[in-house]
Amino acid sequence: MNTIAWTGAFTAFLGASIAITQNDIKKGLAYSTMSQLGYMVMAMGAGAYGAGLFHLMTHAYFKAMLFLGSGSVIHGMEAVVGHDPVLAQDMRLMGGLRKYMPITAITFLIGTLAISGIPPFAGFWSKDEILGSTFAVNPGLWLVGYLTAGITAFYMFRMYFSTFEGPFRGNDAGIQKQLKVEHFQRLGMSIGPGAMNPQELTLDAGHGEAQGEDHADHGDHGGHGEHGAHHHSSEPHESPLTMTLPLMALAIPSILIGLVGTPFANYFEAFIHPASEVIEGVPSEVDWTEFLTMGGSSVGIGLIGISLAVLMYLQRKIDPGAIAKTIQPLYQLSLNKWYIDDIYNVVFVQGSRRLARQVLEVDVRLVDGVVNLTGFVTLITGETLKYLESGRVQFYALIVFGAVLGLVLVSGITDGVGEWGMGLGWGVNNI
Amino acid sequence: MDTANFPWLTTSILISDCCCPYLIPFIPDKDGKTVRWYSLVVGLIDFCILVYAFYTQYDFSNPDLQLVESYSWVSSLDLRWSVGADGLSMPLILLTGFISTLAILASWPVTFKPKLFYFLMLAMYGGQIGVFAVQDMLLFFLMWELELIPVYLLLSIWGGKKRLYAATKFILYTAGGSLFILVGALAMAFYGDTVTFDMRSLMQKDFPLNFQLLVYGGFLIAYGVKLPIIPLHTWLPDAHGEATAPVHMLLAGILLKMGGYALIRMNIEMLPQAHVYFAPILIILGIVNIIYAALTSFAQRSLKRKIAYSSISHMGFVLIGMASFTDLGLSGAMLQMVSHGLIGASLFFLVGATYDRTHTLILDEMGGVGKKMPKIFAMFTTCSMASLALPGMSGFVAELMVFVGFFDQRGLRLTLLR
Repeated sequence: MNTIAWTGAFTAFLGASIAITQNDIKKGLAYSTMSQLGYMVMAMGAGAYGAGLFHLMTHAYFKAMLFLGSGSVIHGMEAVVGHDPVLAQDMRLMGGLRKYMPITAITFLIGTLAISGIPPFAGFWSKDEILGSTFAVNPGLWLVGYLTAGITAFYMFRMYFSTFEGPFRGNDAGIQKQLKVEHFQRLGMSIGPGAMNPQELTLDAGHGEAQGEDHADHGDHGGHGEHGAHHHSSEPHESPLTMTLPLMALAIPSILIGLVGTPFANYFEAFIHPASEVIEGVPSEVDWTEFLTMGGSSVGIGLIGISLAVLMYLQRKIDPGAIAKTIQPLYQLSLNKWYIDDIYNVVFVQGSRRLARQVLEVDVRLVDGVVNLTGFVTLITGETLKYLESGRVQFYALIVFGAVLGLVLVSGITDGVGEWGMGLGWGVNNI
Repeated sequence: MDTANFPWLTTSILISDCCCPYLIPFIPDKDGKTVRWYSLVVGLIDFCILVYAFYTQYDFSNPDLQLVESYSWVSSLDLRWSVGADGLSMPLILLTGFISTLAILASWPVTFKPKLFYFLMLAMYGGQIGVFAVQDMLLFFLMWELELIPVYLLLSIWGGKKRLYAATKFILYTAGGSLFILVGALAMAFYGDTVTFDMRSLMQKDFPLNFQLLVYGGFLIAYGVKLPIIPLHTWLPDAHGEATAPVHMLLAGILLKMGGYALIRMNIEMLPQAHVYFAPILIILGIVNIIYAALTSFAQRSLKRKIAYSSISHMGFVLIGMASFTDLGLSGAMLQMVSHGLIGASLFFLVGATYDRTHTLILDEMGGVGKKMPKIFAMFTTCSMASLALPGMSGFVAELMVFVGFFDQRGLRLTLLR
């Protein structure tokens, strides 16, 4: 139980710490999912089965909505930057999208509030239940979950602000080129160190060209939209109803579903347990002091996270780049996802490839080598032996004579040793 | 016509082995177009005979030998032409008919010496059915050899660049293995008071343990070459790498199964005491087969050799199933043979079809083939899924049966504690 709980807590923290620096909107959400799943596992480990399952359910609604919203954002972005996931999914190119896609923005905000644990949205009730039951088991676990809740609020609002607030950066050719170069550098690294990607060279050339062009029509901002051949328009658009309708449909449970599992009336807990079973760990009366301290503190840390995000990404009072520079190693660790992908690549992908190649080497060199050696030895023996069959009768007679002589000698030496030897010796002497 | 007593199996062997191939030289045909229709029709007729015979005459609830036909041949040796089918050979006979007919269809583009090619294909057809159908050790040996020679010629005349090397390696390996079959068969036939080559009678004979172990070892080498069992496998990648698509289909679809069939038929049924001793070795060999061949396949860059090694890997499951001492495991081994026969043959056919169009087998030189050949791409994907044992496909059922059979408590105890 303890191992499970700590695994969950570590996963929650790991996911959140990675999500905090991701620039790809979907990757950010994916690592956030990982973090939330960590919460659920932590709840299992702490014995709060119902709380974990409740979080699973609330999370299903708001995370589905967030992912759909990110899809809607990407769809809108593709109108500007073209069908390139490197550009269309990067939050550095987004911003100010609330003006262009209001429905997506509002639903995304609801999801963000829900996952940050702000009442009365769904995530608050389930996360609070997990944190409350964890605190009863182990305050250390609770602390990890509590801090992670703050990070969650921070990175989710970072995501919301850089996507939907501020100026729209989608037409900034400089950022686009920078992203392309970063992408190809990553690609080059995965191909192998020192491998020069030909596309990188052409891209650099294109980069300079684009910069020159950029200077040329500096005064005319409207001209930006016509940069690439694949640019359809300079503004993103709201997605059609087929996308916004599910978003709106998911927004309702994202707000309200938490109310089925409040500490005052926990219908959810009663639902998952059979009627006859006595529910443990859930007090029949609401402990208002505990609820208020726990709930208040988790809302508090959520608000701290949100305020930090407001300062850094909305009002730009604090420069996130400067912070990243001062804690460069930590920033790189988070940006590169704790290097887990790279370790897996080296250990498992490259490792199994190397093993397979060595096995093949053994197969070709050793196993097949023995087979070919057998054939070779047979051939050599045959080639050697054929000189014995020269067809000359004298040679055959010589061999017969030699054999008889050898026999005589052998029988002479061993004469009298055995009956068989004696008889043979006598017979040969008589000839 | 009395259908119940009509010698169906004998007819099916003789049609493709003794009558029809010898008519091929008399067919007036310059470019091979008539011959290929002729061979296809013969193959289809043969397959239809088999299907009809099993459909009408075969009782699926009866585990005994059925469709038995026995004629005295050399009475002084008690050598009989006796064929029959039971649950062990029936699916493999049908598989042979199916795959061989398809292989003839797949050899449509063969234009070089078509008459000889189709002659050999038909000769092989009968030889393969014979191997699975005969119930006489000496006849089995005869059929086993009868199918070797066409393969050798098919490899050495129509193969790829290294065809002579591959064909020689194949014939030396398998003919070397055949020696053990002959020696083992003779030893078993002449043991005891009566001289008999009949498999049923041989099963009744009570061999001492040391004799059983010796014969079992010899048979294991002979059939291990065919299955193949590592380290006797190196003929296979070469032969498969050089063979043309139809020969390839026969090699992977049927020839490998002959090893597995013979191991079950002779080693397990006739030498049960030795099998108890050898079962752990079979399991270890099977596991080595699976992992070692899979790794080698992973490192291969040539498509044909990749699939050839994956065949070796799949045959490891057959070994494990055989050594599991459970009905389920043995059925799994049988099903694995049938399903691999179908999957392997179709994969190799698709590789052949791809090669005809791309003229390369090296994976690094390919790419984007799926866009140009969507149908082959779809079929290749399906077959690969079946080969990796995706649930719902035949490979999964077979491998699951082997696993469950192997882990069956009673069986495991027998194997481990003996």
